[in-house]
Amino acid sequence: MSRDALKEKLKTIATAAVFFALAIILSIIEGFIPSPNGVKLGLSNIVVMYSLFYMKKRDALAIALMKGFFVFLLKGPISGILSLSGGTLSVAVMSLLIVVSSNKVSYLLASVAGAITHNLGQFVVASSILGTPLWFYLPVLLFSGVAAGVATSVLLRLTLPALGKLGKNKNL
Amino acid sequence: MKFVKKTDFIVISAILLIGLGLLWYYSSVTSDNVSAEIYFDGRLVKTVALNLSEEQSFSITEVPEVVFTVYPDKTVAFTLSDCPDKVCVNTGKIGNPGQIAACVPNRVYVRIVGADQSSPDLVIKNNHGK
Repeated sequence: MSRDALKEKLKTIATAAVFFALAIILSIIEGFIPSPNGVKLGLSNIVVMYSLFYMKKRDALAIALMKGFFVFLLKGPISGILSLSGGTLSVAVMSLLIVVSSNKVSYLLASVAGAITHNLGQFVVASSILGTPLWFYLPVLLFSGVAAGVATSVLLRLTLPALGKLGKNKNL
Repeated sequence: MKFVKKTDFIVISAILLIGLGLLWYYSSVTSDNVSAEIYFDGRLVKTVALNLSEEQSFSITEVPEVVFTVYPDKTVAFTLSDCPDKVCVNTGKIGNPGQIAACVPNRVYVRIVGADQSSPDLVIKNNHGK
């Protein structure tokens, strides 16, 4: 491996690590925000979306997987599986939207789709764990998905300059 | 990539409409004689008639950490749980047939059933063939 390639690779690993740390910090901060019905904003999704839009899609998936593992250690297996199912489905759907629309999908819509499918992934896994479809949670899941998606995309827009300095995108 | 496009509003409105429709549907189903069925690990473990004149709390032996409360307004709610996210408690009171409140980490859920669709009190099994 050439010196430059190695340097690039190390930089990618370091950036991914910093982004993962940022995702964890955001989810801890989120824990301090009181929520009326347990609905979460999914602040760490800002970092996942940034990776998705400006870095490699693989990095976004890696963050979602590591976040799931972290939740597993912190809150136990069930919460870990729920985080993992939501996180991976969300990254998959957002990637698909970006690829299918050939980068024409808006941040807002990608973010809303990501938030809703995050909830949907959890909904499916929760339903199969309990052995009954939890239809009653579906509307809440849609509303909170829209709210969270709008909020995280606005926050991404606001934090883009700072995240751009952290990441490797130089033209921000 | 743009931040927002005009078509986004149509898509988002459609999603919100679906959500509102579902919400309306869930609250439109009513019954005078409702009861709450509590399931643990996929099994029905307790049925409580929601006709109490005063508030009452209880838990099931399978998961003593989870406390349910039945209210005089014919609703039931998870009021205490040791799970990390408290989605069950935050679901609040439910009382319309078909509504469900669930605690995934504890594998417990409560389902509201109307008088006409409640489970039988007793099932007599025929074991002769075994």
